[in-house]
Amino acid sequence: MIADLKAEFRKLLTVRSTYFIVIASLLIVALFAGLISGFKAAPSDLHSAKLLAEQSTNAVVFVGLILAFAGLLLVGHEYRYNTIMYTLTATNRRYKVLLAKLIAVSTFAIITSLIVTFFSPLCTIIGTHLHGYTISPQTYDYWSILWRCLFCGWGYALYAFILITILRNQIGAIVTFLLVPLIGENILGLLLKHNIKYLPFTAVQAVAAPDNLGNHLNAGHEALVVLVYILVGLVLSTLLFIRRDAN
Amino acid sequence: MITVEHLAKSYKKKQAVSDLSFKVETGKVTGFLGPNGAGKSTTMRLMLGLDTGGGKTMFDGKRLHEYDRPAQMVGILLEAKAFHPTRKARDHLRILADAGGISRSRVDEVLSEVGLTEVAKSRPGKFSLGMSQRLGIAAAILGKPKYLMLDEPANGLDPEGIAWLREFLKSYADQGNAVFVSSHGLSEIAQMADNVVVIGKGKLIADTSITELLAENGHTGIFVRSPKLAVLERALKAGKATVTHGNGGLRVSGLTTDELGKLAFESSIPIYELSPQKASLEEVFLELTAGSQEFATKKETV
Repeated sequence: MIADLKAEFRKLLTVRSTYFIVIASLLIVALFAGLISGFKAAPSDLHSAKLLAEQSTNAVVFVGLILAFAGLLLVGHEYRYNTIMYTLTATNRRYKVLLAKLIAVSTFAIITSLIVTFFSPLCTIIGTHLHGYTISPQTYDYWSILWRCLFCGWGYALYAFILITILRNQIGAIVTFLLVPLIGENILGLLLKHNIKYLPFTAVQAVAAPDNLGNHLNAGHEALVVLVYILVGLVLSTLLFIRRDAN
Repeated sequence: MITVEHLAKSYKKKQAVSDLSFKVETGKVTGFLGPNGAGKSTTMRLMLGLDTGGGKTMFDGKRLHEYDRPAQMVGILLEAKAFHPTRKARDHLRILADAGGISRSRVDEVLSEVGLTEVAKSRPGKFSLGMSQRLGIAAAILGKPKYLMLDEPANGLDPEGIAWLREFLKSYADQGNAVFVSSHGLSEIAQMADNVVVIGKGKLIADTSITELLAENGHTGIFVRSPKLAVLERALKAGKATVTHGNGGLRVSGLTTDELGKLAFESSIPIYELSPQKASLEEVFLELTAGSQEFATKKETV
């Protein structure tokens, strides 16, 4: 298992796409949180006591989707470049490979979400200071924000991971992963109305930012909804990963 | 020894591999031959447990995945370009070393063995097919496995590379390992393999040594040229030999070269050429797999 873990972490850290995704995410955060919400913010926006808390949660809700691509590519590249045959021949149990990938993806998602959680309000503080603004006193519930942001980033990553493990087609998984939260759930929301809170991406976004969307369960309950999706997805993807031909 | 027993695999209505059984002996190179679409790659994938299907493959009496470190038991090369194009060659091998529980020092050793030390830090996306094959071979031998399973390893290699591969695989087998190699390069197989497994349409056609295969299936004989062909032909037929015409001479079977030479001398027939003829592996292969080609070319008649 340790061997599988070492291999998966090395896979993640030896491709340029991982670094590109992290840098792009941080640049996006810097642009939105530092420039738009900080340097160019309207003075009235700076009176909110939740300004910095919202910078944390909004950043993870947005760039968490991008960061999840690193995990998607970790699995997608294996099938695209057929290195999966080496991976599965080197191990004596397929589930070990899947578990190692799951741990690698989760670790990456949690660490990068943690960085984004604190980088975003930092950018806003720097932006406002550079412009000479003063932010009003802030309410920042560290533990609540922290678990919600990390859970959101992890949830996105797991959705992407499950999707690519089931589809095994990189382009198909990327398109699906983008279309479902950005278009699919919005359209479904018109039909489901209040029940939109039970859709997977809406639920994971609501964990981090429950106030943004309204009519939602509290963060803890939304997290349970997400966990159900992840659990079902993992069971399905594990069964398929173990039983299907490796191509 | 690798023991393959009753392998079977079907895709929807097509039977890709059917009740295939054979053995791959240690200390020998075993060639794996078959026309395109015969099921060679599928067979290899089934043997490795990459594809699911019927039958079983035992490596020294155990299934591959019963070993703690399968990568140290079997080294594989099933596809030349099986690597991430922008991951450095050395990193690609380090990942395989990590996954297989193999010492990282082996990475530089195998890169040196296959002649890729200078491009160890390069991204293999721009490698030629020959360089990719070398990287694949490096990956296969990384864990010093007892068994090597290689699918078309000579594809894209230059003549020097092919000669190196041939000698390498022979010496690898000589060290008590087994090499199972599929190839369309029949002359290569003829030069390096001790045994051969031939399949067609997913079914076993032959599982024997190269020597026996050629002896049992090839048309051996003697080619002879003479200015007195008609006289020679009569003399040979009187001597109970079988004679056919071709290439400006006679093809004779049923006599040794010594006997033919003596007969010609006694009949005062001058001989310009007298050479033993052996069937090539290619001839035997084509004869054995006739009718088993999945994608045969259409022969046009003029």
